[in-house]
Amino acid sequence: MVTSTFGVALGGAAGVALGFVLGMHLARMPERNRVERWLRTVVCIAAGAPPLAFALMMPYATLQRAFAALVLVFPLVTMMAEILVRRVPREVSDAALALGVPRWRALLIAVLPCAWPQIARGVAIVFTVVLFHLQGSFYETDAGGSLGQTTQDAITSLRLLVWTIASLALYALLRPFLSSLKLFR
Amino acid sequence: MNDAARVKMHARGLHAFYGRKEALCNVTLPIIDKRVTAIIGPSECGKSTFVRCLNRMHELGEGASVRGEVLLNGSDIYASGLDPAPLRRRVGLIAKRPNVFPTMNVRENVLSGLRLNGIVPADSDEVVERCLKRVSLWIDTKDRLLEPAVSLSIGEQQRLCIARTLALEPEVILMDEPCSLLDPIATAKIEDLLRDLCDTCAVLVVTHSVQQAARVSDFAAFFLLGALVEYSDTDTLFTKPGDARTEDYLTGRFG
Repeated sequence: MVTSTFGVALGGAAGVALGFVLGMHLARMPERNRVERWLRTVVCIAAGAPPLAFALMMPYATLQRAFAALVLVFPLVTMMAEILVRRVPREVSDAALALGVPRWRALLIAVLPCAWPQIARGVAIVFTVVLFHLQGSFYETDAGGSLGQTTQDAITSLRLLVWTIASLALYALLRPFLSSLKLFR
Repeated sequence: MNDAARVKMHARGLHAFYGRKEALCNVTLPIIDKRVTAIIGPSECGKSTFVRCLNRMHELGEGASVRGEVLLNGSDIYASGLDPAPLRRRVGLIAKRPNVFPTMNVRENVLSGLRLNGIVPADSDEVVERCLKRVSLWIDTKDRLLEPAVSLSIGEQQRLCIARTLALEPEVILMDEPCSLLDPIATAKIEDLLRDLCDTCAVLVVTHSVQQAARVSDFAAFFLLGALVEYSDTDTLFTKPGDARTEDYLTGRFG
């Protein structure tokens, strides 16, 4: 259980970091060249792939769980960060740029704080989704055990329910804290 | 010293484009130091584009480009390899709509230009007080410095934006219709401020209001369809315009 959690947390954190950087990049770079177009395509495919990837990878080892979490998290965080940064009024970045601030600094210090509460909330939701997908891998499977198929299904359903409720409860608990976060101030 | 010798900025043969569309056509216009220059003209005549060309904000737009030269103290700001960021600190731009940083309080907004550029003032309280006093906002905000900047009225926010620019001690201040969203009282305060600002720097103000241009400026230019029609001192332009189109605009026949 502990190693499972560690693997998912590690992969999830890496996915958030990767998704965040890609999202920031795409938010300020319109579809100008091949790299941006290629990145968008990869992110879109990856966003649709997680359940399939999860099924193929059977993530029951710590590293596999971490990789599965990474694959699940990064496209969602990328798309979310891009959309939320784009929603910040252009006047904010223009104001910073007109003060002689370089582009990336303007994005990080002036634009991002405006989008940060929503991004933090979005990351919490993404983690809820990840926990939902990976909940089965937190337990050792015992397909050849004494339990019958019906009982197995019932236990799986119960686990699913428990993890969903736990994820939503975690999100609800963290929500006020995440909303009040004001980084880069 | 005559005005010709005190040219702070000089646009020469300036063309600006949005993609293939030419928004400015061969504009040549001097901006005199320690004077207010007003640009008037109907909508879509290239006034704002011209102003944005002067501190290289125009080129940030998708597909936007510039041809020609703009001299600041005799040096071309479009010279190849020149970093636009330091230039923008020297040539401040005040937008039409107040654009305070919504996540910062009043004090942080005044210091934002310095802080975002990595400059740490020796006495930040003194900078805040000096800049807010300069824009006549100190009395109204000295007890609200830690309140969010968005809690101020629109007129106060606009003056806060000017204070934020003044903290960087620019050599030229460009104002793109700074009073277009303000009521007459707030407009009067900005107009008073324009006169004070030109004690230390050159001021260029874009306005839709012919009356405002007549009230506040020393020099005036009339733009039409992306071209500069006429430029002269304000008295001459308003009393003896040299071009029939200028006269038609000033007398309200179009625009």
